[in-house]
Amino acid sequence: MGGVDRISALPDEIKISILSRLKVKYAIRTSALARSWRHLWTHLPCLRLGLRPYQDRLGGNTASVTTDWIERAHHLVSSLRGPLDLFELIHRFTSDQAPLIQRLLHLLLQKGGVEKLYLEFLYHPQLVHLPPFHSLKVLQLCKCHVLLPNGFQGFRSLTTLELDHVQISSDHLNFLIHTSNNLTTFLGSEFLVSEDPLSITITSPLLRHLTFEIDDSIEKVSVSSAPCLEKVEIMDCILNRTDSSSKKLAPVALGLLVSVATVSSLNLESNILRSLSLVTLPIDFSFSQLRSLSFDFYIDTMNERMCDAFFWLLRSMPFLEELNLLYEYSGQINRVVILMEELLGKESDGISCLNQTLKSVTISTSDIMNAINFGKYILLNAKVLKLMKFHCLKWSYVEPGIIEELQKAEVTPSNAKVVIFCDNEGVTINVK
Amino acid sequence: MARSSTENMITLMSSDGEEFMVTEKVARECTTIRNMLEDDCVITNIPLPNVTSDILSMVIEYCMEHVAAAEKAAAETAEKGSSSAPAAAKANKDLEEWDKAFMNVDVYTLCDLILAANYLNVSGLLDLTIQTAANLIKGKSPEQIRKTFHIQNDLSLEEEEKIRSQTPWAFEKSE
Repeated sequence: MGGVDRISALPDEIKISILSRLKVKYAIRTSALARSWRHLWTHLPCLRLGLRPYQDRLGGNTASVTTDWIERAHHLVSSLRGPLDLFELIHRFTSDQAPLIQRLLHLLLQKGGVEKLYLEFLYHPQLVHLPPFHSLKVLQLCKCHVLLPNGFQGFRSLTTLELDHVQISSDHLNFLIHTSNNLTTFLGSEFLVSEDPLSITITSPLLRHLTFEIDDSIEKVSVSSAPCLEKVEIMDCILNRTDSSSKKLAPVALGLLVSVATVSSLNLESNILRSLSLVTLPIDFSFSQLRSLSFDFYIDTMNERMCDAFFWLLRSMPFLEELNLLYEYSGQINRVVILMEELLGKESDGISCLNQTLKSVTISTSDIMNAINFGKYILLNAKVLKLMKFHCLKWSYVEPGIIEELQKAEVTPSNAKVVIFCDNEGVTINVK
Repeated sequence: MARSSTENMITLMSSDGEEFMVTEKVARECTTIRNMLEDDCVITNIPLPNVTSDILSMVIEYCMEHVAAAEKAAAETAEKGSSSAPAAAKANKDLEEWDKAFMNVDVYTLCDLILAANYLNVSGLLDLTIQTAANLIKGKSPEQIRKTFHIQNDLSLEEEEKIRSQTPWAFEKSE
């Protein structure tokens, strides 16, 4: 077949959209096809550079790029005609590459900016002057010392802000949050502080999802206005902390909890209990909107006051419908089980969610036996319960005695269903 | 295909004068036609001077298959109250397989389908054909791409050498 060249005859915008489905390397190869293809790739409207560190974050992959790679990126960006609709720069860099990255960021500003930027420096935090990218939607920074540009007006398009191991002043951070009016997701963890700990005030009209890891870098977080806030996660990033540092953080944890009292979904890590157990809890405080609580009970040691704090939480959630517990211990298992047993025997009156609203409880654990007392307590005391689910990884972890034990359990609500869920299948247990 | 008698039929006429009777629902898969119908609802005969009969029949085949799949999914959802996830996943996979088989065409037909999908504005088909064209380029050397698409190389040896030397890494064999 002699062959007619139909593809070259397609309109340029169609050819460009074919090229934009390719890795940039393959798009560039077409420049050597024929004269009409020579500069086509330079009209690409989007460019994605780099790896996806989030995918291998937990794998401990510490790969960074070569300086060659950055030079190439620079060459690519300067070749593109722009404006770029979408640009993603997602990579890890080493300290000595910081000036090159800064140069690349400034070039990108000239080309129309960046929509998604993930920068992580390995080992040592590096200074980054963020250019005023107007189109920036996602900003994820890790191990950076961030300075906002002079006359910074805010990232008007920013929806996601994630700062991990970032050094930034309270003033800059508050200004960044305050001026990013479209922010829907904000994650802050392990801030690096040089002088005073951070005092953060969140005023965000569209913020829906807030995640905080509390540690010594934060003195205060208050949510002064976030009418759209739906889901809050509060983590405590340092396990095994001493009670004295917990004590310091307790007001932050409590302050953050109290200031987000309007949300419907809350996700807490167990060390919050340790912090809360050290402060005087407000007696008539109420999370009046809260429908769903997820609690990560990963505790080394537990004491009575932490159990009290947990019941304070339950008591202050009068409309709670769904409770998800991740129930694991690394330390004194027996002590926790006994403690729970003792305490659970006592109080149930005055916890209004147990009487009126709690419909679904899920306990995820590797050993159901550990959590069985808590499950029995729920079955006895949650008066409108519909579903009690034990979630365990494998059936081989479920001791035979557990099913018997559950069958004997006293159950108050007549239509409650008890299910053990393992290996992606559920088995309903007949209870009284 | 069995259709209720109340459904409007539209006649589409190809550039070479062949007529295709399709239901309004199938015709509406083409945004260009949908816009015409919305501007003038009594229109029943649409000439398409940019599309030949063999390509038009393929576009119609694609639209009919996708309309039928969407109707089947909607009927199942209505019947059971909600669609079961595995059934929906299987239906999706079946449709993907169908698309894949449908794309088993030579590069001429592929380019004609791209043009027709672009002109008639059938977003699913445009997406599918452009991705198929991209897949034919992916991983190939310039020589292989030229051979696949019958592209004449009008660059001199020196020019080609110069282009390659500007971004040598893009022409390296790895991956």
